[in-house]
Amino acid sequence: MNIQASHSTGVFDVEPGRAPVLSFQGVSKSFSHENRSTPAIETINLDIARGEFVAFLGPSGCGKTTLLNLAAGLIKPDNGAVLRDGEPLRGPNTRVGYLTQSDALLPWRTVIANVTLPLEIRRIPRVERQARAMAMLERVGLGAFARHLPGQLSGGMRKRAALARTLVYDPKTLLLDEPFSALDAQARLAMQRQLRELVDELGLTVLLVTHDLNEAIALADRIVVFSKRPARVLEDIDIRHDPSILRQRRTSLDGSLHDRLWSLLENELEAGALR
Amino acid sequence: MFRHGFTLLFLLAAWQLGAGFGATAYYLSTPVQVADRLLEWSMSGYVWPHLLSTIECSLAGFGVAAFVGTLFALAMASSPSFARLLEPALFAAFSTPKIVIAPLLILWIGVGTLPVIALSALSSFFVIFYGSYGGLRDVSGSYIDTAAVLGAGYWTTAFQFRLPAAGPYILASLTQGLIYAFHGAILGEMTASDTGMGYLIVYSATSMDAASVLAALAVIGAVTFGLLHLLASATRALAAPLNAEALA
Ligand SMILES: Nc1ncnc2c1ncn2[C@@H]1O[C@H](COP(=O)(O)OP(=O)(O)OP(=O)(O)O)[C@@H](O)[C@H]1O
Ligand SMILES: [Mg+2]
Repeated sequence: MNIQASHSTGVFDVEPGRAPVLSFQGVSKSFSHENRSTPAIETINLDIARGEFVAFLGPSGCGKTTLLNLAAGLIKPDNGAVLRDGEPLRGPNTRVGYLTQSDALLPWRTVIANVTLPLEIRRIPRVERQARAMAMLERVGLGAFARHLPGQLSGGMRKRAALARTLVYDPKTLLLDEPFSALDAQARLAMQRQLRELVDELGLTVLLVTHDLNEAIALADRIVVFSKRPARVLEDIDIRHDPSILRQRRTSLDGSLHDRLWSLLENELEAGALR
Repeated sequence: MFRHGFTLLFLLAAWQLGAGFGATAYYLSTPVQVADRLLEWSMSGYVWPHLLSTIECSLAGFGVAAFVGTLFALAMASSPSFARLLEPALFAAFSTPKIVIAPLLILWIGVGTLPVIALSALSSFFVIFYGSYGGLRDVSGSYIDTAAVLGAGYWTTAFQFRLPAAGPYILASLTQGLIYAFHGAILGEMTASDTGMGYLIVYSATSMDAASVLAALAVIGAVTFGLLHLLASATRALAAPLNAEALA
């Protein structure tokens, strides 16, 4: 088994003159609670190249969502810098689509009004935004529920509606925080296939946080495994350029990679925290 | 409902019987006398212009308070530095009893409907402001984060995210605010007007007419009661989609 493992740089060499879409440079972040400061992530160095599909794996509470929040510009790092296209990020990163762990649909707006919202903000004419939102809803299989309120949808349907809202304004980078965790196995497979197609078709860059090893192996080009809190990079595994893994991926599950990731995570985990 | 009616009947009977002893009838009147007065007022049409004037002033005061109150609350919730600037002044104004402002209002804008509207607006402003400010300030961070990532600016975030997210709090504070506007108008009429239910009370009291005072109070109580019920059902209807959300 020859799995390439490397830390942050060097795997997907950035094209000359083209900065990584996202770059964490010595980023650390602590949260203070009742005057005690707990580090959530510790000196993370990671480069995400254009067009990469990266899965973040790590024990619950290790700091994965914190990393996405940093990438989205919602919080500032204590030390280090988050770069977008080579520039330090100041304020919210509006070039990414961020599907948060809680879907954050606006409950007072219908499903379609939720999906048209980012287009309204971008002042796209009414007719066009209706058409684009409807097309995206059809795509995630919610065409028939456009006029429903989010409260009338199931958990999985809400996730799909939120995904439609995230994709509708064509962001070139996606931050996805456990997007499929509320779906049943069947729907999850269908959504995973759709996502991968969409990503390939549009050449998107993706950061996907997941607890599902199989999902990470099936979808990602690169898997970053984090330690328990404070998050450090344990492994940074490129699976795209590994023919044996590609072959095994085609024949469904990759047992050996799965086992390897599992044992990595097992060391970090209390039993039962991983599906 | 039935039980409330029964309790009310019992109290009225006790009052009617109790007022028969000694000279208390002079101060307390009796339910029969009060009912008599109410009947007389509605037959002669004497009470309607007063009631109408009070309701008009209340609605005008409420309108001003609702608009200014929610706008201030929204601006302060959206901008902590603006909030820090205004909070002390607002708190000082809030802790001043509104009735002591009535003489000042007369001094500034004279008597008539204007000071009544002003006092009504002032009374309900603080209830509306503080009620909606709390809700607007504590809107879940996930909505605000969503707004930020979707590229919403200051105003879009305030009006499309924060305001609707705090909807239930604002509705509740408006409900309370309407009652305060109504009572504020009556207070204003007691000192600065020659029409309205407040004026009617003062006039009746100075004419030693306890039955009229109590009849006016009954009218005020009935209107307040009606307003509360109207608003409760309106709030329920408006909040229904949000409750569906909470259950999901
Ligand atoms: N706003 C915050 N205030 C205080 N502590 C926080 C905050 N956000 C996160 N934390 C803490 O930081 C740590 C990492 O949280 P984070 O949400 O990034 O974990 P996670 O890896 O996404 O977990 P999960 O897989 O369960 O979603 C946790 O211990 C959490 O308690
Ligand atoms: Mg998380």
